[in-house]
Amino acid sequence: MTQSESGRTLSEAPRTDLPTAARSLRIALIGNPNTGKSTLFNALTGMRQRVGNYAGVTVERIEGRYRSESGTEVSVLDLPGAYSLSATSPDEEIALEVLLGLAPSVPVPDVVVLVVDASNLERNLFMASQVMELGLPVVIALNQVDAAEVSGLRIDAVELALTLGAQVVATVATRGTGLDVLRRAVERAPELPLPKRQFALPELVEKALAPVEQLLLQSGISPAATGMEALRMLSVNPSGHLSGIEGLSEAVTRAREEVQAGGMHARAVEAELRYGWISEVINSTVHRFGAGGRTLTDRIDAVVLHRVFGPLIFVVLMALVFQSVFTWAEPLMRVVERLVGVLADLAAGALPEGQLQSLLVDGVIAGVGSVIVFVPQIVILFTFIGILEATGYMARAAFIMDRFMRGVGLHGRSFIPMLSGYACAVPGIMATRTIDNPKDRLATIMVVPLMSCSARIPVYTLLIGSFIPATAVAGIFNLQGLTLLAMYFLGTAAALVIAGIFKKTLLRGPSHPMIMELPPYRLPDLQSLFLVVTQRAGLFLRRAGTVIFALTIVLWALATYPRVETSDLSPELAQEAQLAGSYLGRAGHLVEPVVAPLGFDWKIGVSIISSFAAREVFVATMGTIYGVGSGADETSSALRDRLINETRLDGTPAYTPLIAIALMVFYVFAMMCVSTNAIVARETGGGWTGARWAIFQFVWMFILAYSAALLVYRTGLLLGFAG
Amino acid sequence: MSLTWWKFRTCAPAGNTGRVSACPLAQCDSGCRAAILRMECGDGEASRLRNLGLFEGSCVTVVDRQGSLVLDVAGSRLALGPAVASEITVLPLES
Repeated sequence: MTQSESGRTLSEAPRTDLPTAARSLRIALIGNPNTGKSTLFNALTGMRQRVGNYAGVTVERIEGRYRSESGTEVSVLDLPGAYSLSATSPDEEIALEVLLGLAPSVPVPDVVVLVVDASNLERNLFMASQVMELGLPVVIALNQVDAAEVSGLRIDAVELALTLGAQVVATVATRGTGLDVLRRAVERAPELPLPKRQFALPELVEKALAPVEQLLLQSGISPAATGMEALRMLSVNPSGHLSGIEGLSEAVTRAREEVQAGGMHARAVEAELRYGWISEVINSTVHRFGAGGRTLTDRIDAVVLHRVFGPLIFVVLMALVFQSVFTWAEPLMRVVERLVGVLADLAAGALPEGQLQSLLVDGVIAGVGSVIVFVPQIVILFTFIGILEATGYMARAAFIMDRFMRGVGLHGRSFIPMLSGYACAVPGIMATRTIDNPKDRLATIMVVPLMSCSARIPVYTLLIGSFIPATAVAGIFNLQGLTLLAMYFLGTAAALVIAGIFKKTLLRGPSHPMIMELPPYRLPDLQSLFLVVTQRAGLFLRRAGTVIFALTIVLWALATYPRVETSDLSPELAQEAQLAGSYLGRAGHLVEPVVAPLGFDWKIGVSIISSFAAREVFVATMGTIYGVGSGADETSSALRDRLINETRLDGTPAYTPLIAIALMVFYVFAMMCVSTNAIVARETGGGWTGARWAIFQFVWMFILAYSAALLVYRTGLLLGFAG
Repeated sequence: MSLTWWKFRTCAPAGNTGRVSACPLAQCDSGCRAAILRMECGDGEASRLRNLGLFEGSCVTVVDRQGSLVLDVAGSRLALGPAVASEITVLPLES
């Protein structure tokens, strides 16, 4: 296929204002999902990228830059993938607002690069036809021409450029083909005539829309864009940037009635007109030479979406992913912990003993360590999610799970985030970005932390190992294992039930039926995969890191001050005395009346308070309190023995199996993880909106945890178990 | 769309005397080709479907049916839940 450029350049007057000095250009990439738009973006900009959010919404704002041959600094904005500019989703709304210059703090792009999938031209040209009516210079990147060839389609790029009135560049983003031509076309685009609507409206429609266009013009919508905006209003109601215009809804209703009275389906007019024009374009530019028929994707889908094999393959794949996150992350997490330990030792050796050393070692290094220990899990999980997403399997997984998840009022896409929650809620919540309906996404974010994550394992292991006998059950099972399983089951069942409750109350909305593209299967692009994974890890480190860092220092201060005179005690006893006398220890005594109804004493109270930042801190704090050193872990037999033999003043055991179970139930439900709080705040809108969601989640989970532990303990007492 | 009535075939024969019979898309079997007549789902869903290439007058092929549908819409594969598929009325065409 020839790299083609518009024939229109020939008819242009010779350019006299060719810039000699370096200048700058702002371009925006827009295209349907699965067109290879992000791959093209990565290929254009390389590693020079920045990820942020558009003001006030959770739509990701990805920017990059490159320098062209002629020295032009080009900044590239990767708009979210969208099927149209009808603004029926937050992604589409943002894309439209950016192109209209209405998005806060995003200037109008100088050039729009429309990424169009060559193997699916018909559907892709729908949004293309909308974009080309906005009065902006447009370059069309006809991407994946190789895949189109394979499926028997050849596109006449010259003819397409002439028909559309914009430059067309054939590209294969995964191989970097056509990028230089594309860069040159982008630089030329501002000097070429602007593309415009290529089909005429029926007289009836034009007359009916005239008042709407007038109203849009008066309210300050750019004159170039009113035609597209007015036509789009026939099918969707004014919203977003148009919702404030007085009288618009009425004018639109009148226009629809007029069109309807003329015998046309008002809401379908836009689709009919655009697709009518598109079919002419397709006829003149697309040559079919292969025998269409079943594609490779269809043949794979026959197995992957099979009634029996489909779910089976899905379960096996998920088990593999889940298992890998656990087993592969484990040694890496150990390495991270060891490195942090080495660093702490170095710092301890380099600094004189004292409060500065304690702040740096027990506060800063331990705090940062507790954050970066999650990085291996995040990297592994997002590598898998990235592969599933890039190959096209993710849409199939959502398809298979849709019926099941719909039963609890969620969407098929909620499944992966919930499954990820078993490893760690943080990547799970970050993975909810694939859910396009905001209410489903919020409901999923709210319940993901109920899935028992790996940070709860140390708590479960310590308590089960100490208080649940390893009795054999039904021959092959063991009571300890069954207890652990019960905790996982409890969290999962609660997550599903509570998601259903949220969807019926607070997050009630029209149910969104499944309407989802199943993209063709593709091999993942390694550079894009690498970028996605590093961006996710970076995002986590930056956002969650700062909050955790601050909180661990606060916790350190609470456990360290006021200083207690301990010079005559052994190191272990000194630690215990220090903790008991500190603000944290006093707080433990203060909360004792609150936790007493659950059967907990002040020592558990302290451990719970200290583990608000991260659940696994519970074990370390118990270790400190019982004077076996803060280095205790869940398998430490010294700590277990102390717990089992601990008695109250009257000589009865301080801890019983019932108390242990109540405590575990508390940890199943309680939201005790600052990383998760931080990421929830960020993913639910950031700022005050996000903070409110995070606080709300913390509160309801705490109430649930307290009530459940109370119920378990009190019921247990009534049934005659020892408290 | 130049469809002629004799190309239509009935998809729910029982009690049908006409030669042309519309039915919900959800009742079409795998391999069935059908023309979209009406979309009675919510306006938001209808708009999304039109943007994806499924609009009144367009033709789709049912690739797979198992509660949910997989459709061939202008060369791309579209998955539809059973609820929305039962709100779309189609004319099945001779396959």
